[in-house]
Amino acid sequence: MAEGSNYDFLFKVVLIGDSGVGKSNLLSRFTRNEFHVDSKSTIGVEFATRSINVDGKTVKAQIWDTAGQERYRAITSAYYRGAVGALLVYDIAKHATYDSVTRWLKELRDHADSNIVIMLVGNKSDLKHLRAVPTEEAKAFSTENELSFIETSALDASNVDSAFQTILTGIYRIVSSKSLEQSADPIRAPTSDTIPVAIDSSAPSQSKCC
Amino acid sequence: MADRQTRPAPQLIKLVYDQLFHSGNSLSRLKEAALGGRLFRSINDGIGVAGRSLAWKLFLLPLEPLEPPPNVPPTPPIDSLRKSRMEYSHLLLDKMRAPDGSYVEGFTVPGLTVPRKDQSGAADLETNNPLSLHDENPWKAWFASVELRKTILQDVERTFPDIGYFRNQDVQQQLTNVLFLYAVMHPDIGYRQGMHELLAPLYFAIDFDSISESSETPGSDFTFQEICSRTWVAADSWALFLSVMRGISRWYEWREAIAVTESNALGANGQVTLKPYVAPIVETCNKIQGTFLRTVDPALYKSMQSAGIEPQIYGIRWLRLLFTREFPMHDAMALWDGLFSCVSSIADTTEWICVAMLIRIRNKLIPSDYSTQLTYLLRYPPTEEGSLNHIILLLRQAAALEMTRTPSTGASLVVENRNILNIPVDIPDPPMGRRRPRPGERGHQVSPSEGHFQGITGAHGENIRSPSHQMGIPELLARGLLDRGESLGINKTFMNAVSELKRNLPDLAASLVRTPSASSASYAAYPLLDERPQEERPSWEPRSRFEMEREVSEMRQLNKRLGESVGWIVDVLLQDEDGIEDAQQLSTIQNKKREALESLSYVRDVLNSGVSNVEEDRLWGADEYKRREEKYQAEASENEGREESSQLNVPRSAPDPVTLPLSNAADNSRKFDNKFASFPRDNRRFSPNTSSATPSSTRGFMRPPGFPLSSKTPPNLVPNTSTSLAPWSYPWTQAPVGSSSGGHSPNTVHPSIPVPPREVTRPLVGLHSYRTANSIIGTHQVADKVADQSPKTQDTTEVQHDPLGVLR
Repeated sequence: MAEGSNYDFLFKVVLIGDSGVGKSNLLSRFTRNEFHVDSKSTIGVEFATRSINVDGKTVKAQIWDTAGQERYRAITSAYYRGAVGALLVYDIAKHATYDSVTRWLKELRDHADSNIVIMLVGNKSDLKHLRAVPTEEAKAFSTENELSFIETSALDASNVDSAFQTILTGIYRIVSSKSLEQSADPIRAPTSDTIPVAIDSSAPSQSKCC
Repeated sequence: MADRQTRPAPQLIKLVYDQLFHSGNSLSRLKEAALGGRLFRSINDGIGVAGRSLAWKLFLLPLEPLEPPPNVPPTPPIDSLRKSRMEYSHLLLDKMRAPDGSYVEGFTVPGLTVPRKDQSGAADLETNNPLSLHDENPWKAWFASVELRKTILQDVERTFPDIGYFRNQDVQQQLTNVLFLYAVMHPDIGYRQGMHELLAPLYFAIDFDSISESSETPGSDFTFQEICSRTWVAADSWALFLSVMRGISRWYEWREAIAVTESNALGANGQVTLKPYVAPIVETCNKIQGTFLRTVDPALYKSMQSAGIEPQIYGIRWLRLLFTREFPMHDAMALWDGLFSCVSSIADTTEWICVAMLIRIRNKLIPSDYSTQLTYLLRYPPTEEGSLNHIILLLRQAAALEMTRTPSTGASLVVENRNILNIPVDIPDPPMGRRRPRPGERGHQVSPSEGHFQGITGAHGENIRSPSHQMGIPELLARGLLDRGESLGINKTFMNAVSELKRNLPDLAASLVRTPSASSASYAAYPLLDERPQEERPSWEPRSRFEMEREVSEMRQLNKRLGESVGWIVDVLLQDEDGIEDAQQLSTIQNKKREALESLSYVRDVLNSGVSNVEEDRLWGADEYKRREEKYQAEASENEGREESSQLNVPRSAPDPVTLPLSNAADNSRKFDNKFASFPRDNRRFSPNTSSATPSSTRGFMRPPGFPLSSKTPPNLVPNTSTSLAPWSYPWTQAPVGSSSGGHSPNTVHPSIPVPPREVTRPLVGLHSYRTANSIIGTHQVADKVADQSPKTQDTTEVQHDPLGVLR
């Protein structure tokens, strides 16, 4: 098969959050180590992959990024289909984007699989002087809602890798702890009443030849 | 304003202006030139092209008061511009005013003076003050609009970050204003991300061509100066934006509620079904991939489908932004030139451009897995040839596809892409075992010609593929030759494919034309499928007699309608208005005369340009059109009623294609048909929705001989004489009047019963065999229709209509 098939696990992770919180830059920072001060607004969907190592296994993250504008719903179902993780991003310098977090959680509840792993991400942590959302407040909120939490800066790259690393590891742990028999490609299983996370079906043969 | 790019010298713009309006070139020629990338001299890698906005204004703005015919030189759309400019200024003044009558400091509106704040204090401070909690507080709406402007500005600030021009604050302000006004004026759509990137290039082009009032202009042509006036850049961009959005705004539509809509208009099978709201963008995307692509490139469709690609994932951006992110800016703008000058609507052309774009990267898509496919679709690979040609090619291909939606056109695109863009025909390294093999018998039938093909097409000559491969190309090409009926006559691109093939394989045509009779075994039962056996017809023969006849009768029909329209026009124009004193009556007559003149100019256009799709409502004045339509409907319902009551108890909608519940009815009607063979038939237009062959056959026999039905039918919809009726308008079982007595002699068969133009692969049925064939062919056709309209129909229905198995 084509490139990038040498992985053990394939996880789809979606980025959500209000327009302008830096989702696209988190994606480009993580997958290409790039940052654009002026980046275009995302229209529709962007998508990139990067493989990382978790417990000696190659985990390929397929990260989807979409427009933050609330009314962009034409692609909602396609967007959340098969997603096993979500980074819910807000801008620590704009309280309104933090206020929207509950709305995004509702959206996840409505459209994504109920077992999806969610991480709250306060982005733009470099804007210390403009901070509008105290870290403690967000942390408390996360604990309350059983989300993991991290503050990142796509601009200075702090915590970006570790954010993705954490969520992917979390997903991996869940997968490996659950029965692996129910393997199905997460992407191609549109309606799954099984666990949301799964192994790529080609994985066993791949690992044998490595 | 140092940031603004250097504009071209006014002389350069004037050159284009003269070319557009003073060169004597007709509008259609100009559009053709734009489509072929020949309109502007200075096309280079820059984004700005002198005079481009003038062409856009000409193509996009409505021309007033009368639409000029496409074959005369156009006049500058200055009236239209003046109107929209004033509209814009007034709107801006109205919508930017805070509830206390104040404006933002430094706010200006071109052409109008911003009034000072009204201090009369007439407003009720109970409701009208920013802090009031009253429900009708106008400040609430005001704050909402401030929020809206903030949202818009957030995107505007990020518009084309790599183009310095858009970093200018004034430009951003103007763009925000225009988008804000659009959102306010279209509350059902509002502002959606993406609109800003549609507006920005329009604004840029207009500003690029703008001329300041004070500057000297060559020849001091005042109209030219007015059209290019710098004062009105924003207003003009608003006008163009409105025009573009008129075509594609539905792609931005979205409703929050999971509303249940009645979709009888869309019901594929004529059923009224209740289904949840599907955003129009999703619908369009599904159509592009699920219908269009599936028709013209089945192999690619299949590969994308089995990978699980959902079309809206890539389609949403392609469609909403009109490709500005898929191509470099100067290419995208050239594409817009073509889009705006296309004969069909922007939306239609856009959809087909998407299909052509998919076919262009089919070699990359087909062998790839889901992620890789998605990557290609979301980051459209740049075309290697850096020249502008590939855009022109894309436009041409889209037009070809739109005109002839067959796999042969798809195949011709592939050949074209190889010839012009060096994209190999063969798909590299296909994944194994992904696709199901075709049903055995079919594969065997096709394989000889396929093998023949493979041996010669070269590149991978020794690597002869097994028939179960879904490579598509050889099959498509073969299919292409077979599909000649449509493609050869109309489609130039396909001719390229044919000549290409001929060069490579002198004897190919001969070997291929025999294929259908061999492979279409299921049809062998019906002896005469065309007026001439396929073997005898040279593959290069451009048109069959059927097509010629069809064209002639279409022409006659058209002439008749035009004649009737002119008749009405003359009547109206002859009305005397001298003796009339009643002002109202006078104005009615004058109105009518104006309508008549409009219709007349439309008739002239039709006659001059050979438009084939005549818009019925433009042939008549509004009243007359209504009258005719009502008359027609009344008649239609009357007929319907009569038939309904007289009909056997048979469902009129499409019956199940496999089981034949109608066999009794069919037998009956056959008897009746024989008995009443000499009766003149109802000339009512055959409606595909009631395409069940048998019920329609019962229409005729209830009518007494010589019943003068035809004279009662409305002349503008159904012609009086049978000869002017397009042949496919006949119900399946209905013999033309000319053959009433001797329907079995082929010589008297006059237009016979051909099939509608696009359904080429279906065998044509000669009149002498129609009676046996109709019960079967008719139902087959129904099955086919069902399959056409619902992409998810089971394969089994298709099999019968896919003699070569290329759809598998």
